[in-house]
Amino acid sequence: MTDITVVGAGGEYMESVVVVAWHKQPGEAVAAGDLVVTVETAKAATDIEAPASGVLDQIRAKIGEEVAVGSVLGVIREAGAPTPAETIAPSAAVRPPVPASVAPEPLLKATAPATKDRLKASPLARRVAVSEGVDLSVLTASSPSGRIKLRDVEAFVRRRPSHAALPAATAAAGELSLTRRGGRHGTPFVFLHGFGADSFSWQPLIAALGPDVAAVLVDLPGHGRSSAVAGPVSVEALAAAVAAALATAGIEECHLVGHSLGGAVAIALAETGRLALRSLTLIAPAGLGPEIDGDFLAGYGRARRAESLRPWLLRLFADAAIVTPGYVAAALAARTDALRATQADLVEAVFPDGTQATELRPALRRVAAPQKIIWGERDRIIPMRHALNAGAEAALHFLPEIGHMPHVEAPAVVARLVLQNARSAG
Amino acid sequence: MAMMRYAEALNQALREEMQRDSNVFLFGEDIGRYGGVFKVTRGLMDEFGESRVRDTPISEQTLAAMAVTASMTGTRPVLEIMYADFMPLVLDALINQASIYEYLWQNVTMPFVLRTQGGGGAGAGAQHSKSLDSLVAHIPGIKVVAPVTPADAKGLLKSAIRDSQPVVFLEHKLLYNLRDEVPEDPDFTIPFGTAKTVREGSDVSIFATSRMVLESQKAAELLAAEGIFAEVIDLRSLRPLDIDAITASIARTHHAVVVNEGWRFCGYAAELSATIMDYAFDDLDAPVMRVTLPDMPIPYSEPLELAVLPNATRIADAARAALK
Repeated sequence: MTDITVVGAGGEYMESVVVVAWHKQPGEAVAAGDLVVTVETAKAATDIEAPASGVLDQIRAKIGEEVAVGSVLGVIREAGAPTPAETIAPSAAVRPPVPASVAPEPLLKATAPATKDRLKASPLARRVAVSEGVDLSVLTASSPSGRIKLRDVEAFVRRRPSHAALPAATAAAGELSLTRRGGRHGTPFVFLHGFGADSFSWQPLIAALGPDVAAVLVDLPGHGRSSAVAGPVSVEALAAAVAAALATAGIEECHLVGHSLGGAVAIALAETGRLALRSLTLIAPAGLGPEIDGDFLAGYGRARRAESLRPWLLRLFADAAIVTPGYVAAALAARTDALRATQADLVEAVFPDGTQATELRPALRRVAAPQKIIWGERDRIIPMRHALNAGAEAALHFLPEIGHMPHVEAPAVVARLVLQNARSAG
Repeated sequence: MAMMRYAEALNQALREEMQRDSNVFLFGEDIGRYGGVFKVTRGLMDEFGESRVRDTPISEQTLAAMAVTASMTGTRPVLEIMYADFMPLVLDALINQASIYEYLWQNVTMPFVLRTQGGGGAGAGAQHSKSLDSLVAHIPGIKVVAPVTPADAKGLLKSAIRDSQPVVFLEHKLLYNLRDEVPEDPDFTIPFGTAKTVREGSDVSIFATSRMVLESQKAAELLAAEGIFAEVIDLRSLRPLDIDAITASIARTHHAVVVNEGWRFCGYAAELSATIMDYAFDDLDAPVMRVTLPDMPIPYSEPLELAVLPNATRIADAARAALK
């Protein structure tokens, strides 16, 4: 038996998916790589291929159903293996004959997950929850009717710490898009993504960190839903924009996590002194040496088709299996012409001629907060040895068999290191 | 201002309008010599003569058709139907004539008033106690008002007589002896479609009609003792309805109780509830609660009658349930 899941089909780009279409029916033969199911994400429809050859045994997520990333959408059984129904069924001698066309029906019903009860909330509670950015599903109704009322939403809003005045969904603070995820308590963790990515790229790490970590995902200027910086582009200008957005959102103290370009921005942000920095975790950061894969920056930036994007995506990872056609499609869907244009300007300013023009080694050495640098040993974008340029206080973590994206390829390890770093801040 | 009973305020309104406009005349059963069973028309036959205050035989269907046709000829008839329970007998005139002729023919107006009284609580039995508000409020083109105070009774009746469209004027048999201040200005009128907030509150809005406004005020007292502040709104005009007053109140309290002495199923309270859903859904923090008569005849026996009529206790219960 092999599960069909969303992971490996662009899961980095998703929180949950809605099943749009099944291309195979239960009982139908499938070959590994066959298109079996199409799901819709926040950004695009993504085709999911059969992870193994055999027979589509069960459809667990029906069309229209919303399922979390990682859920099992369906199950493929080896050709010739008995179906679960056959293994549990009484002997053929006593079982009445069933027409083949309807035979799968009871099996589907038996295995389909029970649909969740509809959430009961008053119209007013629903309206206020939307404006306050409250997820009603986490509230408990105080009314004997079981219906969430305004008072339940208001009580929840009152309990939120002051920094959580930031809406849960997405708010344009300054010109940047901030997305709040996970818990509402404690010092927030601010995440700065790499070049050409956006806040969705943190999805696997956020999942590994668990629901209690208060995460603030920043779309850097000219990325995701954030507009480009006004005026000349530089790492310092990006950091100033992030500092302004965090200030607008009321975030004065945080743990900072930055990847690649976001790592350079994190160092520059620490250097501004505008943030009470509790800990700094850098994942394959830029800014610590001149070398960078200029071909990647140019090629990834230009790519407008799956065929041209895929080779550059492959270069990000040690494990080529991550870059499925679904992953490529989701990554491509996230890239618009507007983003391509502003990011080309950014490459020209920050990485001219395939060189890292920004020197952040002295700035990193001035960071007083606990710092960790995490690098994949098979990083082909920025050389791992740049980590050696960090100061004496930085803890270095080299991950074997991992490329430029440790937070995607090894989210569990990276999550443990981020939390260790935060704990060491006391 | 003068202190007077509800019945006297109505009498004053009729007298003033008959003095003001010679086209106004009254007719109905026992309204002349006898002065009406609730004495609303007392003394008017002596003052205005038998041609303007007419006693008629007992035939509500004919009387209603007379009101329609007399009003079409330019007079302003005020018809009294002794009990609202007999409204079914006049429905054809309202539904197939009064509400339609203005639509069918040019230059036709029907400025008549149909006064009647309904409601329970007087031991009058199943055929003399009903509130059939929804039967008449259902008809497009017919205005329906139901005053509670003597001042509103006077102001709304004068507006009804001056109105160019048919108006059904709903009185309540337990209100006739209510005494209160009444303005003496002969041009004192109250426009239709204006509700009146009779008690301000922050927690729950109680929308009531006719005598149920008084019960709602008592309910608000009971609730205030528990720290629940109910706003009580006397709708006064059943059609047209003051939707702005309803939505403004719900925007403050987010909870609504609707009270009407009529039956529940397809009743006026059901219409109020649906209207609130139409206009204030996103302000509601709980389902609209309805307090009505159960769907049954009104018993003659006093303990049984009191057991079925909506009252302050039931209204308070509904408010508490909305707030739970």
